[in-house]
Amino acid sequence: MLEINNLSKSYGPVNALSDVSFTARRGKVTALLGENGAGKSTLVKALSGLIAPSSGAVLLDGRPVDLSSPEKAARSGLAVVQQEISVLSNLTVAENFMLASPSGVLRRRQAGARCRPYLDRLGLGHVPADAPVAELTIGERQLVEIARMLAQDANVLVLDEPTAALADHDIDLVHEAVRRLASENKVILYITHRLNELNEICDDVVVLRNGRLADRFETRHASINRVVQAMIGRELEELYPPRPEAGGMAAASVVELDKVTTDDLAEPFSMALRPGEIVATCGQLGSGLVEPLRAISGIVAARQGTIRFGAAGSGTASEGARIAYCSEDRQHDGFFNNRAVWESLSAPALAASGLWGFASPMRLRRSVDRIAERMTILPAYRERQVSALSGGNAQKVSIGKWLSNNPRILLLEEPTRGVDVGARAEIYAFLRKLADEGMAVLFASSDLDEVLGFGERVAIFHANRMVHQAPTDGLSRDALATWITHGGLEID
Amino acid sequence: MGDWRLTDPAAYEPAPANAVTRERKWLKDLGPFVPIVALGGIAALTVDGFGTTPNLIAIIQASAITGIAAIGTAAITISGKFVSLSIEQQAVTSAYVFAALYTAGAPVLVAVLAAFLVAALLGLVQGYLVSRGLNPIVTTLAFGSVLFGTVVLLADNRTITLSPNPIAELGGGTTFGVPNQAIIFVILLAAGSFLLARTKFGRQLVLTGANPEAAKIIGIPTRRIIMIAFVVAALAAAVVGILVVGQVSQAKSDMFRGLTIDVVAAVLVGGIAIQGGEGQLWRAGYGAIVLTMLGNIMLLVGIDAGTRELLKGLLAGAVLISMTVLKARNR
Repeated sequence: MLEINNLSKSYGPVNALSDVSFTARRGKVTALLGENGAGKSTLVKALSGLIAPSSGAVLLDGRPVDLSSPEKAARSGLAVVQQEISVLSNLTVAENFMLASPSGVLRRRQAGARCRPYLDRLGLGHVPADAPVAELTIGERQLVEIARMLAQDANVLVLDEPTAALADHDIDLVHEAVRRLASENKVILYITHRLNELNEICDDVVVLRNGRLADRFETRHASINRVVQAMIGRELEELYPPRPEAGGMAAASVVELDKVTTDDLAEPFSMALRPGEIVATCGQLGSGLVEPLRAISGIVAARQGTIRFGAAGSGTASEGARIAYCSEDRQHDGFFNNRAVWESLSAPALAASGLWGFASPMRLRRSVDRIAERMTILPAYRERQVSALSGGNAQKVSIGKWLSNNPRILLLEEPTRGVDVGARAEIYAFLRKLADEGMAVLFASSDLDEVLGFGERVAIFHANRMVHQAPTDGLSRDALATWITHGGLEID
Repeated sequence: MGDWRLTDPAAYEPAPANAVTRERKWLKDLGPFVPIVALGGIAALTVDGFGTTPNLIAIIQASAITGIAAIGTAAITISGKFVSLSIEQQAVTSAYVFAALYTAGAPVLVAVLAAFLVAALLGLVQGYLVSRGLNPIVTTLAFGSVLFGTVVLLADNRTITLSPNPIAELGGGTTFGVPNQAIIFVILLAAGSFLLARTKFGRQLVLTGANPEAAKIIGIPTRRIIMIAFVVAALAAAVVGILVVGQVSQAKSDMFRGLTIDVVAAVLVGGIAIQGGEGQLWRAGYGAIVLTMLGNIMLLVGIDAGTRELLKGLLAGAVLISMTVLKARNR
């Protein structure tokens, strides 16, 4: 049993964790929930020995655990699998195991035999020990990382959003492995943003809010409402905003793609976007679902076919439409992490104004006030660095920056990945409002609930082909799941 | 616009962190100054001759050459492309172009313009290569070597002496007792700071260095900006080349030995972030003054040349380490 007793951590006047106590039972999976900034990552850092708590203690089976350094935490049997996968992809599975070898001596021949039982235990029986990690799926890499921890005799496994970046098949693989580990009497702390995982694999739920313990209960007593209320401190009425009345004849399209292919697609596809519409592309990771967005934005070149912009569907991007594109990796190219928020927000308009001439910082600051207000980015945050914001606020900056250019087409890849439920509702409402004002929104998502709840139409991708287009009304979750996993409704 | 808002962002983000960020930013901004100001103060009290006006003017004059080159190089650093290692070769080239043309009978203005033009072209070539993805360190190192070899070959390794020297006043004279080099240094520093903070180019230069991928997607012409940064650095080196020819009335191949390292040290000691996208230009000038001041103090105290170099290096290292430690603590 892992006991967390009155754990607190403060940074100057800020209490990232205050007086958090709970227990996680052996043989059970304990979900750790909370919005970004609720204190989850502080707790994880404390458990992995990366930061020293200001006060409080952690006990494993009644004995205090020394968390003064990552090495000592690992020696006490605590293992943390970070969100970013840290297996080295240019090495083989066995070589990754050798890196964790406690003796410090690398014995190539023994390593294969040594890692085999751990791989088998996690359902990786099909993966050879000498396979390069680069050839594994992301889910399999995640499991290799867990296996590596097991090899170090971990009794407590802290999994930080292990399924955030995974496709459905890989999620099943991870769930399977987690269940097996629980049955081996390990303590498992499972951090997730996907609420449907609670019923699937978690036994207990612990919710943090503002650095405090907000609620804890067994999953069988949980309802989504109770969970969400604990997370955001009030009831969330609607995650997805209501759609407008289906209003007569739709306007002319802002972009038409006619038999377009790209290097990553096996077949040409056609689709059109009209002003005021919110359209989804859906598929598993790597199924080609992002290709329409990248083709429209010009990030990848269309190999064949034509893309026509403008009210009548004629013309080029520069004359027909202003385009905003947010990639799936906002940390990488969504904003300027080490600069103030207002600088990211004003950047597209600055770039569009050319390279020559004066630019007053005061005027740039003021020019983003309206956008920041619409995006509910508090005035106090506008002077802060983007890196100091939570995932939800960072995503608001990533999307909001484009508004300075008045785009007509908004292209978003995985718009709410890593964004907590409260900020998600804000982002959906905000996008709906932009669409109502006449913007065309196209988003790529592997989250079925998001596609069905927020998209009006969906283009489904499977194995680098667009296999189906349909309105989301009347499309069941099961049907959509079948489409994206099998490319059709007939399972052969 | 609060009508569709479902949650208050303040409810799930600890707002007081703001105060902490500001306090630490203040620490980080002032961090590099502390040892320097202390050293200057102690030197003024204990070292004979350090606090005198002529000595302080001498320090500023000696800083001017390193400082002007550092201002230009800072453009490259801020754009995210580290530094140029061909600074001294660029300066030597411009010195030779100017001196050779002038002694061949060209009017002063033509010789100066030609020196700038050649410098700009050379900077453009390096900037082009780097903006297409070549490593800036390797590119400028190799380019500088080729450039230096070519210039020495063409000049037959001769020293070109200017007599009469038409720009002796510009390079070596004073105005109201202040060295002209120092005045040019201050003017360029002010102009550069303005360019960086208050022009479209300057702001887009900073954004390019802060995150080139985001800058590209947003529509900032990152390649062009990097090329311009290299041209700016080359032009600054050309200013240095011409000023020193004015000061010493000749151009010779070893006239800028060690300049590149001094400039790089000035940029770093001043506190311009080596990873780009951060830093005010005055820091480069400040770094140059600091390094010169240290050399001056050690000279006055009577420390020999070898020990001076050693201590200078150690101090630069200490400043860099203290900056890194401060940054690490800010996490």
